[in-house]
Amino acid sequence: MTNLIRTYNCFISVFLLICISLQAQVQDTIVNSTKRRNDTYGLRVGLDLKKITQTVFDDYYRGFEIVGDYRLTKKLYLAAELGTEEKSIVDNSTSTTTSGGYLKAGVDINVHKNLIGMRNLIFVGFRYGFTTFSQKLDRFSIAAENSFFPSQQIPGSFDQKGLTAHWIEFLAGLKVEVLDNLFLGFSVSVQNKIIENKPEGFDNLYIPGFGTTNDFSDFSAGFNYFISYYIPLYKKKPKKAKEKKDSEPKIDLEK
Amino acid sequence: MRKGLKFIFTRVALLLCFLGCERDDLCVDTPVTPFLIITFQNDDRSLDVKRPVVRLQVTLIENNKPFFIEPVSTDSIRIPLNTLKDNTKFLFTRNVGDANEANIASDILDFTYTRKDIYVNRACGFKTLFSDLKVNQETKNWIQNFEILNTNVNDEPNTHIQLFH
Repeated sequence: MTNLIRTYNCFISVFLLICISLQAQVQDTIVNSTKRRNDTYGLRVGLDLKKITQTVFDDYYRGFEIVGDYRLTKKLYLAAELGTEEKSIVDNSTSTTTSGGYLKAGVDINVHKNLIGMRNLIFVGFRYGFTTFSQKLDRFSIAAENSFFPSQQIPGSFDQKGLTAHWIEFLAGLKVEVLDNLFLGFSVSVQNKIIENKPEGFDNLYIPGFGTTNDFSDFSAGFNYFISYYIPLYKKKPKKAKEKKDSEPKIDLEK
Repeated sequence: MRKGLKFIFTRVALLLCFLGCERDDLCVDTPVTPFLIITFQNDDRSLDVKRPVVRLQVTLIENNKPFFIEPVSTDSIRIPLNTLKDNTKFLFTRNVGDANEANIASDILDFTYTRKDIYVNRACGFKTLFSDLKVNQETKNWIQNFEILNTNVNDEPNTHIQLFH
């Protein structure tokens, strides 16, 4: 629970930071009107900060994720996340440790119309996720209707390797340029499991990249915040740019 | 811009609601480790009728722990089996606390079985099912005989053992 609160605190502070910088940028642009167009195409790479924070504060979690996207057209970005997670679930009834690597790949669509000179994103996206992982049953206890025989923790007997899971993910979020080419962002997501293979006579309590599973649905939800650096590779000149130049007002919304 | 932020914000709020609903940690309404069901029958097997026991207490031999808080008068009982060992030894005593001590009688039954631990779900964890149930009657003071009706102790609510007295 304290971990959850910590995570939220961190998340809220990042969110505020983003809001403030957005505000600052709006003012900046109006004053300076740099006229830099959002017409560069390139690669953005970064790190998931939530997983790093959680690794520091949560004794039962280790995770690392590289995030990246590549601008394909004006609004469309190819996006992917590559990561590894190790998560221990400690419970009276069942304690497990899951570890594995995962890859998510898909697209982001920018739905935000930037003021001139700004390159922020409000995006909705889609991913296909895949993981291979192992799951170890650390300890378990036998459930009984009464406590005549005291409940006892029994050491687990298996460590199943080579498990896999596939899922699809819908997400939405923000990426805000806080310094030149440096972006902060966050996203919320809903995952829907398609296939998983479970250990014989057991269940996957956690799936790397997907998150905590539950007994009553194939869904899970998550949120992430991240920092990334944008590497511009080339510029695409919009065709209409020349004609527009004369009548261009100072503050313009790009379409 | 504002609209976009609003959109994201409501999504975040929704998500927080989702995360607020923690999974159900309580193990209820799910069959877990089954009890051993014993019925008491009239010693005259030709009658094939149940015969209640008066003021019965069942005590675990290894630690002298009584199972019933108060002795019960009944013709059928549900008692647990030890899920950490392959046998459970009980002392069955009738007419507990009777003024006439000659009426009080005890017998020892040793139940042996094979265990299998099976995963139930996240909230409950595991349960144990028993098979190859055998009974070794060590004394014969009031229980004259027994019959095993079902050697598998699983989730079915049927009688596993009949005791004749």
